[in-house]
Amino acid sequence: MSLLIERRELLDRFKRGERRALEEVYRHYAPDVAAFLQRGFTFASAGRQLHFRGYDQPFDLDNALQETFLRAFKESARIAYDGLHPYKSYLWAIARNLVLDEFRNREVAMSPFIEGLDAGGGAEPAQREGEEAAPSAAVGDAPSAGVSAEQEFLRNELGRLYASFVARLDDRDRTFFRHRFEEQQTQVEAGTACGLSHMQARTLEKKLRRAFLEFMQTNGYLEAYAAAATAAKAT
Amino acid sequence: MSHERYIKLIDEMIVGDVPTAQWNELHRHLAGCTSCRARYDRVSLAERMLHGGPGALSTPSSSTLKRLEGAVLGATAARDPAWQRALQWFAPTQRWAVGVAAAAAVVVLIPFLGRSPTPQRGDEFQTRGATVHERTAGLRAFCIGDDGVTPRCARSTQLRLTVSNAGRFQRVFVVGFDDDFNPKWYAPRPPEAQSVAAPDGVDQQVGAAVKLGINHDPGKVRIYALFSDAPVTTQEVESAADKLREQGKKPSQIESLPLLRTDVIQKSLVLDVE
Repeated sequence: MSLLIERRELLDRFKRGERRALEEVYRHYAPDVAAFLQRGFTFASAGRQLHFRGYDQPFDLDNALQETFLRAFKESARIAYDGLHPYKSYLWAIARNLVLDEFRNREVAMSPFIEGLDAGGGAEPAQREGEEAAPSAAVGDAPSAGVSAEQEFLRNELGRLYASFVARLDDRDRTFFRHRFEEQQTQVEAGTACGLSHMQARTLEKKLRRAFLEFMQTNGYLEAYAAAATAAKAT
Repeated sequence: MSHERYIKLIDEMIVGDVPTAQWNELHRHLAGCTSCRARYDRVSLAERMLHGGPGALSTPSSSTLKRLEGAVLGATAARDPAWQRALQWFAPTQRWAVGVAAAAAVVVLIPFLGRSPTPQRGDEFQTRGATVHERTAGLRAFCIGDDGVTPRCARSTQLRLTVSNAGRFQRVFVVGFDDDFNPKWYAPRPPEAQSVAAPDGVDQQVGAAVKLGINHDPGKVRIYALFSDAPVTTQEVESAADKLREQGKKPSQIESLPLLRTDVIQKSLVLDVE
């Protein structure tokens, strides 16, 4: 059931733009919108059946997610939501319009994300420029083709480094690391599992985060990109 | 902000939180910097793994979602109306009673407060290079024993902190450090890691009352109140404290934390715990 349909008082506060209401709505829907932007959808443009593959790079995804909610939380968009149809569909329609706007404005830049489909591939019409997202818009959610070989390589490299980092930790730190980071427990819970006070857990977490970053830097995961960044600055 | 600073800021995503104001600036930079985006992508994947292990690689981490939330709400949310903030003050745990007691204690406390180095004007005690603020704010401390407010802060007393927010800042972060740099997180309290909503008005209590017998050793504690509109994070405060420590300085002698931003006005005082 949709959050804003079930809770009318939240809907009222959301429409007024109250911070706490916006926070609650964002936290409830952000993972869904991120998943939608990541897996892509089908659409039609100028008679062509096209498929948006979805954003697989973190910056593209984070940027689109932020922009979607910036659009969705604007006063005009909050007021335009009818409170009858699922808000998730409304958000997906806004996300979809965002991608289509990008496609219209920067077709070349967006080309890596777009692929053609065979005729009759189940595509749906793209909305017209300037048209508000319809609350009840049906949105295709076919899974994308998956990550590229380069992405796969990168993820494997990261996985290997991660395992190597964890293996180097002593027993207490490894236990804390697993509880705190892998199982996403609170600092207090993870600290308790290792016999640490909250303050000690906090200090240990900070130390582990710093060590993780240094490990990634010294093992080449970030090295090439530091050099690239320096070169980019020099040019 | 220099290019190297952006790279450092990207790496900070693993170490801790990136404050909203800095994220907004970084976000704008990333849009036009291909090499920085490449680094951001790599660091983000590492950060995802740090927030859920190898199985979490495909989805934005909880800290990423929180960072984006700060940017979205900072740009779109309205501030709670005054009546609602007043209700929030009165509703939980009868804090109004503490406020009344604190206000009544002001007269008694004048000698004590006179010894504290709380700045009186808004443009004092700025970080070097900071912009001059015309908005004003203040910080006061009250030690309350069995017989009410006391001029001396024994470990058997309770500490209550109040702020005055004539400058109508939206957020305040109140933290103390003794000279060994042991932190005292008054507001926000862990696990919260961002400055709390700053109350309007004069001598409004911020944070819960604290028993000085807990987590406060005898000696001096410098208490800082950091007023701002964009949130200040625990990470920023810890970094500033680390910097002081590296410089061999003692908090009791330093009136403001060396934060890497200029939109924060700082007020501080020294508490002598006995």
